[in-house]
Amino acid sequence: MKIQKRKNKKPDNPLTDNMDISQRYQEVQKMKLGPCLEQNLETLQQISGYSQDVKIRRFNINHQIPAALVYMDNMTNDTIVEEILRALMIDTKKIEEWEKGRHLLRSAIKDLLIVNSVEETGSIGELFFKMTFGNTIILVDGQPTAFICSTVDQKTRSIIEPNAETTIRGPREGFVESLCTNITLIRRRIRVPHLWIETLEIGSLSKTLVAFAYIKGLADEKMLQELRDRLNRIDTDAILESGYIEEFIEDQPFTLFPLALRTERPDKVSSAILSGRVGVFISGTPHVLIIPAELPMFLQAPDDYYEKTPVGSFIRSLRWLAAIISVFLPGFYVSIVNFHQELLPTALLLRVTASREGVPFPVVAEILMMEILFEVLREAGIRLPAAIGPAISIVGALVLGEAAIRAGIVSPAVVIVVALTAIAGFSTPVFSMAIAFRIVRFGFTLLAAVFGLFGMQFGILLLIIHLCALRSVGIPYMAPMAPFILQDMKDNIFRAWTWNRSTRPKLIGKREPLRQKPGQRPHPGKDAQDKNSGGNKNDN
Amino acid sequence: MTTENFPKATTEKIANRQFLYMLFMMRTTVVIALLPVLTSADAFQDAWASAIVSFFGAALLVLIIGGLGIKFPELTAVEYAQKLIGKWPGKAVSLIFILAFLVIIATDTRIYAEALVTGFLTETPLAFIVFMMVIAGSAAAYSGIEVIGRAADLLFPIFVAMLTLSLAFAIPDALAMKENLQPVLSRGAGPVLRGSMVPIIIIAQYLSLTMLIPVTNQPKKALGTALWALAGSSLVLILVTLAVTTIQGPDHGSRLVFPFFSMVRTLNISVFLERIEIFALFAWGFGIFIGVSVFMYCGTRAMSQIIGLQDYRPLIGPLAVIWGTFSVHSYQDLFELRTYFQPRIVIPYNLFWILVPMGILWAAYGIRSLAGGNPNEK
Amino acid sequence: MKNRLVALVLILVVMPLSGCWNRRDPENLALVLATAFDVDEESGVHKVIVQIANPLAMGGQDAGQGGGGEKKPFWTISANGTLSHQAMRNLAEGVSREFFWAHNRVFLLSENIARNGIYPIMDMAARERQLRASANVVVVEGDIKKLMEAEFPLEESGAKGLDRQIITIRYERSLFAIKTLNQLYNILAQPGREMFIGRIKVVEDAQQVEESSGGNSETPNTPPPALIKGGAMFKGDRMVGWAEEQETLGWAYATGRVFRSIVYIKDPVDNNTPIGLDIGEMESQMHPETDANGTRIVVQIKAEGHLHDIPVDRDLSVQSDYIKSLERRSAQAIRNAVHSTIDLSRELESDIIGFGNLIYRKQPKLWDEIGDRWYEVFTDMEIDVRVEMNIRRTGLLASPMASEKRR
Repeated sequence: MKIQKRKNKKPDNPLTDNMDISQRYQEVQKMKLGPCLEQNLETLQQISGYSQDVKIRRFNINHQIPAALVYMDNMTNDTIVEEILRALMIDTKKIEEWEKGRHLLRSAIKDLLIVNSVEETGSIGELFFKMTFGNTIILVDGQPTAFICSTVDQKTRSIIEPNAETTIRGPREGFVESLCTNITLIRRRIRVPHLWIETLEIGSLSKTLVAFAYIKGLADEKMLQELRDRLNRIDTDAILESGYIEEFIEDQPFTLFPLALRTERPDKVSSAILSGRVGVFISGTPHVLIIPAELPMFLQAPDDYYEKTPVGSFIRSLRWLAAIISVFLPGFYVSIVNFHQELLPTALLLRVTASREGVPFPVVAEILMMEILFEVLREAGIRLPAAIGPAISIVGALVLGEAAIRAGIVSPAVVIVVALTAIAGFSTPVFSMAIAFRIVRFGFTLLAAVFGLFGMQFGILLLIIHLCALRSVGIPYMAPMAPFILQDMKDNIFRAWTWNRSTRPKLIGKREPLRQKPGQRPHPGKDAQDKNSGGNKNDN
Repeated sequence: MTTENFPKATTEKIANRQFLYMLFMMRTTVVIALLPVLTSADAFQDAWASAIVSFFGAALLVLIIGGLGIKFPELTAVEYAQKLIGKWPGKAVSLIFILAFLVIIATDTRIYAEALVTGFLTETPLAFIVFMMVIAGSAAAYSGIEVIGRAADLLFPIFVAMLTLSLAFAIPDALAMKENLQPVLSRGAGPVLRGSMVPIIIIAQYLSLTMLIPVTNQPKKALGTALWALAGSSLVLILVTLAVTTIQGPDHGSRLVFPFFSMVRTLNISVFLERIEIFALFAWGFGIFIGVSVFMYCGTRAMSQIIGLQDYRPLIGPLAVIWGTFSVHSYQDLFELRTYFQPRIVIPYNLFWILVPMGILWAAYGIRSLAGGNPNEK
Repeated sequence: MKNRLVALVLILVVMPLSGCWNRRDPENLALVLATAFDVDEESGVHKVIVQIANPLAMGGQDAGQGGGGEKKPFWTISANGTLSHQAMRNLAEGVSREFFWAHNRVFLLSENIARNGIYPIMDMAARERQLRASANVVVVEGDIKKLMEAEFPLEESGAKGLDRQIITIRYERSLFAIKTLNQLYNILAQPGREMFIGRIKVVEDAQQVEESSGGNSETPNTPPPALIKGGAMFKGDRMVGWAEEQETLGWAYATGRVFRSIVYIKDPVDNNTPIGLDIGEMESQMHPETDANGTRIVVQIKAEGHLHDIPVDRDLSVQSDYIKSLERRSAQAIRNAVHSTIDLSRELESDIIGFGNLIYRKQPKLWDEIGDRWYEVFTDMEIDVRVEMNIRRTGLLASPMASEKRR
């Protein structure tokens, strides 16, 4: 059969330079594929401005029908593309069958394509969108639709332990930037079909894929619906990081405290999902959000669960103590030294006074200066390259502190206090919470400078009111301490044995409260229960 | 903190446990601050007996105050007052409650400020300390009763821990001087009963029950909870009285302005831990905070129901200003504050607040029941 | 909303600027370690002497200037006034820093002011918020100014020295009376009991040290600046007399405040050699007994001790009569001490052991009758002191060194 070639005509470019994004977007949405191959190719190249990474490979199906393969450079799996080309160019049997009836061309081509998935579409906007994932588009002359073949090759970072959340004992996997890999990491840990993953596309320019994973039947439906509504309401141009999403969907924007837990570890996310929470994955960032989050979660590290209970409880209570120190210690020092000298034993007071002789600044000014200095040092240490960063921080701290003491600008006690506070602050596992603590600490120092311990009391009251009023998707932020939930206290400051933690957190997992069979305390086997046996008879 | 984020005032609920904590802290702070059993009568070394007697008297009054609340578990006093005696008389009677709340809140804050100024921040103007407490209490009331309940959950352990520590450290000194308690009950029952009058009457604080019963999870058990709180508070009063009487001596103890704090001040645990009264005062401030937040909530809520507003939050601003002004200007000096707690003044006041509205409402209830109709209807 | 933010910022800015009325930087403080009160008998002018710590010399080691040897760790300053409290305020005239009384450890009262009555000082001390109620109180016999300025050989400051001396003497010999202000408040308020405050004798010169029965100078060159001996007996708030060692011991025995004490008795056999016994525990109880003859008070003392000094050879075997007679004699010695205290109390009308208080507590009706004229009744009242002494141990040595050598 002879194919009549249409006249080659370069279509006019409907997109002019004067149009802004929304107009271009609307125009592109209206565009559809035409039957002429060259026109379609031209349109595709026009709307992407003849970008260099849109590659076009023209070929003939079975040496007869003109077709083209369009893909984005460096995103596709070359082997599969070759397979496609081989299938379409060389395999002739199906094409012969087609020659009998033209209308079967589409299904014939579909049967030939040996790829994971094949879709058809006529919308140019969608074509382009799919191409950005690494799929390959096959345009066939005379067909009003194009085929989208899945040839995605994720070139992404290898899965290594995140360096901000290391553990001593625990899996060393961390999330990466690719959404599929992240979801795989979760899917490998929760292998039931109830793990549902809903995907949305947010951001008009970035069209970021946002997925949230939960266990259907465990997670609260109202919470899920609320989350869905909030995510759907987002109307922005780009979502580049989980922080953007977090700010859009949090309950209470005017707070220092993070209302969603951000983590890079899959074990943290899977345990949260297993309790009834939701994990929000965003393509392009390894940080995953866990919603809803409560305050005690921010002071928990996975290590607490992997070590034995007494060890885990001890470390966790130490961490709480460190958190309290990091918030209150400078204020406490200022208030005692400035207002309540009677609390110190005489000898200590004399030493403090002696070390302060000749220091030109009042205590408040000293503390604030040293605190700010420390913050600047810490920030500088992050920005420096890894080789010299830690060295500069340590050197800076030690040398500057020592020199300042020698010069008599600050007193040694202040340097000790500030250093201790900073070190205690580093023990908070979640960075966003540590930052919140740091900022709150300044507030307390100022209040302590004005009213002493009663200023701190005032600050504590305001802080408690604020924290107790916060909710994270409806769950009170201070649970299980503030609405005191006795059964959840087993995992709060002290951790109960694993065989004892039979229930899920009450507010989150109320649909399925029992996690495991209770009463599984381990005991030695039956042989060992006979005390008089004196060991196995066969031992010698 | 915009209003639409907050649950509606009518749907907030607190657990009975939080209710217990709030009531306990409310009463304990005032009662141990001035220790009226010791200072207001001549029971001296038998003050602990007065404390025991005060429990029974106060329990009776609690039953009077809260009894009606249980019969109308979902309604606040303002609402069922209007139901029982009509709209405008009901509102008039509710105004008495509001007066009670106002006086109580101003007095409590003033006690706290006086304790601070006398003991610690001697040069700070009283107004600033009152100002701080007003801000904290108003912020808490604005956030809602649920938040106050959660804060009570958090602060109660600290409060109790501080009390326990003070009393535990006082035990060695107290046992060494227990002869201060003798002669036991030598003065007869008269002084004991007289000494118990003021703590009984201070139970007027529990008028907040009238507004809070409908807010609890299990309103029918709320009265039992209140009695438990009263029991706990009385136990603390007995222990503190014992400690102060033995350590400071009955005579000297009755001369002190703030007996409990002076007693804690004398405790000398070891070389490096002296003058721990500041922690007692610290924790005590938490108790006062919970108390005034609750009263602020009750007062504004009652006012909003009288006026007919949907939400009580807009009223917090004006009432806070009134509260602060009252606190600072009602009492010229410490003497007036102490005089207020003398039996011949405080008893008529509090009895008026308790008996007049409750008397009217109970009478109305009784009449309706006798008349055959179920008062809960209509 | 914007206005609210502006208001909030303004408040936040203003607060630290407004001066924080109560703030005191510690280097602006004058830490008072000890306070002494004195009154001039003729003119009635009250005098207050305080000991202020010098932090550089006491606390700092490398605080820039390298204090240490030259500077004295404290210095004293005194001022006058018509009342003690006024004198305290007048002190500020000569000091460059703000007074801070919260670390005051010792109150020293001169004999003059003790005889004049100490209610004004007690009252002021109870009201003042900075003073500690756990501070020690002593009455000083001698030149109080010299004591305040004296250097204590082992301690940094006089206050600390006195403090520790008081603790030591209580533990070693139980020779010290009521310690703290708080106890004083208690006793002032109790009916039928008088104050008994410990006495500190200021050492005038080395000779006086040699003469005193203790003879506890470390080196002949630096005698201790103060000796703790006995106490001052009060009636009401005025001092009426001194109590010496024997009476103080009696008081300690009767009120059961003995930690460790030494009793010397004469050897039963030869009635000459002194034998020493160390008293470890002592329990004392008092109660009134009423019978047909009237009311009398019974003091029951149970003591336990062990043998300390046995210079001669005696038989110390089990349950010998010798031991029993030692016990009897030591019981008698204790009884004597208590009786000497009672005699002195009767003479000076200062019931320091608190018999009146006992009657008040145990038989309040009787006290109602006789309370007003207690001292008349006290002079005639029979007080029965029963002592039971048990010698438990003999230290590490079983038989005396002086015993005949075994072959």
